[in-house]
Amino acid sequence: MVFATELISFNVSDLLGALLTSLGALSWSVATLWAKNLMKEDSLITVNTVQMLAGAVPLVALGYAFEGMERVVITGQVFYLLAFLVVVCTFLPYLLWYKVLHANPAAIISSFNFLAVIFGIVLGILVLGEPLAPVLFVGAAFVSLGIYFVNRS
Amino acid sequence: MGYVPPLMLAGWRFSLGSVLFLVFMKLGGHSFPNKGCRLIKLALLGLVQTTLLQAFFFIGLSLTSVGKASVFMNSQPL
Repeated sequence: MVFATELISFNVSDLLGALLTSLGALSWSVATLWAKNLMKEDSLITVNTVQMLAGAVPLVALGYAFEGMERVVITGQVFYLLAFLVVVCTFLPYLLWYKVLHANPAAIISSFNFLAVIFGIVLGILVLGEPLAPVLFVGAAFVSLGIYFVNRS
Repeated sequence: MGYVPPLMLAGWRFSLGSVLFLVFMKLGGHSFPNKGCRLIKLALLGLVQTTLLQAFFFIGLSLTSVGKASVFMNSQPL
């Protein structure tokens, strides 16, 4: 479905973005199964703290190495949005994710990740003014059906 | 208008997030694993779950639209 829209508005940058986000999705799946296994021996808070600390340091290093500080423009808005990103989009969701992952089968709770598709499309249109592609809504409907069937089974 | 490049933003986000988790961990009386191999396993998980994942997502997201990226982000095989 999404590749159909890619063909309509073919763009190399779009395809590279799609490839990278798909690789990210693969990393997420591997990490989910691995974390589930590791939480048998350590508390979910410990797992979360150590993995995030260990994962953040290379990200900062990569950012400095490949992007450099000269491109960074700090404003009050950046500060505010970073605080929002840290608390509302990082700390709280990771805490909840690991808590739910600890108590439920990985495949069941992973199916709820697909809701991000619907939120992403709707917020992209409403907040960022991205173009409305009806085919994306068809894809979102299939995603919703998938969540329904996974939980029903 | 402010700007922070994608990898830098991801790095700052998770560095500050891990500081919050450290505080939460201390307040909750949790401790770091005392075995080196456990720490290494958790650190490797961090490289996959945070470094690789966020590097792919943030750079990918900067190259395409939020709508398309969110579809691909959820093409995970689980």
